[in-house]
Amino acid sequence: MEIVKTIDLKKVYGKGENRVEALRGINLSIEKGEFVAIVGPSGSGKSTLLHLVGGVDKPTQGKVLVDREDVYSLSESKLALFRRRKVGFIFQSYNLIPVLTAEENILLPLLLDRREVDKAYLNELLKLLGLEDRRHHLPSELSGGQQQRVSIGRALAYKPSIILADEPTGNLDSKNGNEIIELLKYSVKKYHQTLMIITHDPKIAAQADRVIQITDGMIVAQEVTQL
Amino acid sequence: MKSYLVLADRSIKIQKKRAILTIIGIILSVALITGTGTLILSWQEGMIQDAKRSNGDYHTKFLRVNGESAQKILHHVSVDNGFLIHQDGYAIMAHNSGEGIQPPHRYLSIQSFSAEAFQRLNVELREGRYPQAPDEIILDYWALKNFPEGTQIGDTLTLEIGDRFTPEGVMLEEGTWSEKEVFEGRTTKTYKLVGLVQPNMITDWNFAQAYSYTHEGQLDQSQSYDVYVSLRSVKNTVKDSEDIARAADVTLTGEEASEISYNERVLRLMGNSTNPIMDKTMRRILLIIVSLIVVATIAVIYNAFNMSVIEKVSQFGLLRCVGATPRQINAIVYREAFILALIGIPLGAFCGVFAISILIEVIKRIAADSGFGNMALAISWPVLLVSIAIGFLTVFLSAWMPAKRAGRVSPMEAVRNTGEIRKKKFKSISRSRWLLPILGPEGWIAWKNLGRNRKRFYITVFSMVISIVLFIAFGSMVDFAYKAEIIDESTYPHFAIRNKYYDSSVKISQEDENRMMTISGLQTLYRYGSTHGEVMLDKDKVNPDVYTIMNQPMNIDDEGRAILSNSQFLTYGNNAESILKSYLIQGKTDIFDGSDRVLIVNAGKLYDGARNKAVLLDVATLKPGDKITLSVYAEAMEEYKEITLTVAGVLSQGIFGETKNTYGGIQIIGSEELYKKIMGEESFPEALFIQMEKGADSSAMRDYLEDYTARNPELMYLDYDEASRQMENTMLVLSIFIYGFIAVIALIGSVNIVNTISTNIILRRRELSMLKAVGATQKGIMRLVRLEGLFHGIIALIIGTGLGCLLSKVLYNTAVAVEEFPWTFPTLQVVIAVMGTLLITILSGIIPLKRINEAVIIEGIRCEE
Repeated sequence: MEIVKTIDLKKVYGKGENRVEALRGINLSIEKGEFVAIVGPSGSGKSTLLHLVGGVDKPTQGKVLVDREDVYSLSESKLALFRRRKVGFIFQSYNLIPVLTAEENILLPLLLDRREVDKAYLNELLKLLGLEDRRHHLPSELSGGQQQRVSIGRALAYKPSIILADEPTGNLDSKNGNEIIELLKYSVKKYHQTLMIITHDPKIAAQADRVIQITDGMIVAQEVTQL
Repeated sequence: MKSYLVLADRSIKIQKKRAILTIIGIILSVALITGTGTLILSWQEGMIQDAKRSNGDYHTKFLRVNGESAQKILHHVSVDNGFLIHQDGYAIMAHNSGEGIQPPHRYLSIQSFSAEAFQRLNVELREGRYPQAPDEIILDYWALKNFPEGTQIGDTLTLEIGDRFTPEGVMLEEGTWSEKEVFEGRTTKTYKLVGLVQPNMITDWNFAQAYSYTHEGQLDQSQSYDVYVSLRSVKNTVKDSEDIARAADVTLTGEEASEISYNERVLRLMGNSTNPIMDKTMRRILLIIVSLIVVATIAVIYNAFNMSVIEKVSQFGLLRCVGATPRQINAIVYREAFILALIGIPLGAFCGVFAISILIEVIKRIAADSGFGNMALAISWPVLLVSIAIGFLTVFLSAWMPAKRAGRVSPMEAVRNTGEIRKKKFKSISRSRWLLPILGPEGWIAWKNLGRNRKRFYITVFSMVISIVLFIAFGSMVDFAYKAEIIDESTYPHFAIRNKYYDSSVKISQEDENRMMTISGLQTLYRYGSTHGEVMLDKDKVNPDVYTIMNQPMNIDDEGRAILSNSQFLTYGNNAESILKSYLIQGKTDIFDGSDRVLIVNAGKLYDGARNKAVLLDVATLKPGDKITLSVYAEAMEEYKEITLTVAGVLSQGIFGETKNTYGGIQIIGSEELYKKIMGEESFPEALFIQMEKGADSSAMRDYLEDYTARNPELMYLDYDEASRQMENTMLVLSIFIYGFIAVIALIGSVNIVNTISTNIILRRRELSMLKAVGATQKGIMRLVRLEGLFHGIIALIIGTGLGCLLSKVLYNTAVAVEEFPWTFPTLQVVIAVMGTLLITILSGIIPLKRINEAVIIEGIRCEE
């Protein structure tokens, strides 16, 4: 079942001499439960694509359909709900709220929804992330790897349909990086989620179901790696 | 780039908006100090000129000194300049009765002035010239009609000059009458009329002023002179004047004693009142005010500049990474501070002076005839230099701490933290999960954010606190000014008609009264009667402090009631309901039905001899429904009357200048019928008060009254019109000054709050964008930001209100050294401060938040803090 579809997606920055076409008409289709790796050189448009799918940027032209819903036809409040419930975004630079503990950062989407916390799920998540002993610590008291786990936990808290990870291991050592990828794969498999990762690491790309190569704002190759 | 210091210049250019906000903060603050100083000096100078215009341009006058002493005084080393006046006497202008020389007459009051006296006592010529010889004379212009028709400048007037005496031989002064007074002529003199005078005020049509000429060379040992002097220095006016008197052999005691009198109003304005307590008090209040302004300005500039430096912390970290020393980092910060100061301070000084010059022009247009109408801009170099010095010092102090902090940044920490000076330690952030269901997630995060950066929190709250404190304290000073009657809200009549013999009534026919009512501009005619008597009342209703101040025991009658002697019983006639209602604080004004219901003024003003100051207090605590007994002597009926009255209402003060009882009694205001019932018809009305409509032309009324009193010579009319209008305008301008000042303080506070809160938002753009990325709505973000602002505001209000009330009490304690009145909690000021602060904190985030909301989320996440 198709979960994400982009139709002639374009993104242009700047005007005149400073005009940059970050995406030049991307047509993409991703199935539910698929693990997709997006690779390409710096400035190719990988992050832009991910941001547009996640609803944190605005396309210049084209559509993004998630679960057959046109993301950019949603009202501001519905778009916020989309980002809160349907998408889990993992940034390279963690972006945690400094005054919230690890546990509170993870629960942030649920807190925004004023939802009751499923304590069993929370404990399971913390255990999965290896953060049981650090749940009440502030981000400044956590290592880089631990902070990234917290941001993953936040992305998983609502069990969203799609997880978007923009170089989640870019700031981590290889051990932590591997662990993070394993975590993501485990969660995705368990909750039948779709995972899109941007990565420069070929080893991570090799673990994906499909690798999409983007160069100069266009998809230049797609390779199914897992059968 | 020749020097690394150019970084400071480039930084200002790139962060133009931040730099402009900082410069605005500096400008506002310096402008306030400069403006305040300039305004005070301009006002003081204007008031001095006005005081000299109305009271005369001199410091001390020596009254009734002989010719030799007069000469010694004029040439004393302490005297800068002086002039002479000789009281020549009276001359009858006209015989009012038409049947020979019988009182009451109309007189010329003749004085001989030395040349300088005309200028220094502001004798304004309407026509002609000043007299230059002893046989020349000038008169009030209106006096001419009392002379044969056709009398004009150049004509000769022969006058019999003498004095007025009571039948018992007591000499009468101007303005006092005796029914059987006697005029005794001393000499006859012939003058040449050389000019006509435009008087400042006409208070009595029965005395016109006339001026002849004298000079030092004509001093006569046997004659008595008034000598007016301006001293070289006013620092020790009293001592210097007494020394002069001693040196000039002036006798100050005994039957024919001379007298020293001071131009108190001018001296007070020059800061050298003869009342040392008043001077000390004024200086102390001024010092407190200026200190507070300085603290407020320091807070503003420090805050503005500190925010500016915080934003560049990551830059400093990078500089350290490439080898800059802490001292070099400091130098960059100081250079930026210096550039901003160099732009902001001169602009601030200019704006301060410019704003005051505009204000003065506006005041001259709207209230030209007020006490401020003569203000001229007084630019003072000491004021400018002090403002500039304070500005530079403040900017330097503002830059010093951030510079030191920036210099101490460890390069590695700076790089690792990408934008933070050091790892934030949030040990003291409370968990406060219990707040989550109450405040919601946004409010909960907002609450936790308060503990995020303690220094920034303290600075923000401190700035708000300063503004709140100043607002409450200055606002309560306005209350003090009203209570102490420095700002006088009282209404005064424009004209009054009285009988020359004060114990006689004003007999005016109904026909005449009706005719008066038709004159254009008349608003209300009041029929006035007053008497003094004793009031007996429940002794628990009397304020015991009255007796402490008057140093007397409470007077109790046989029935155990307290007796308040020297109470006043008044009526203003039955047209007075509207004006009395405006001062009503309890009960009703329904006293005009002829019943025994009355209005009461509990407020009194007593002089405390022991502590040498006036005290404002409630003499009694009478309320509607209370009963009192009034005992008066009704002279018209030649009997004592005692009557029980019921309090219908309580007024905050009396009217027409009789605002408070000053003799330890209370004021009772009744209807016309009640007054006549008690005092008799014969004695009523004692006077008629005429109130004109606001802005109405009084010339028709003035002409009518002149004609009326000419036809009824036992009557005189008093013209308060100009003085009354001047007073209204002066009070208006004074209120404008004070409230304008408060508005500027509030503006500075607002700019500070806006600057701080908006910067707080801009600095956290990435974090707020991230919240949106995980699903916070725009409304949710707005709520978070508003609540953060509100929490700052509430904390600032709790501290600021407490400190503001405390400062209000301190200022009160200073002010009561001169005149005592009860302190009241500044409720209104607190309410306004609360509402204003909350509103501004909520509104402060609107523009920066709008920018964040409109921007694409990912752009916010990418941006460097």
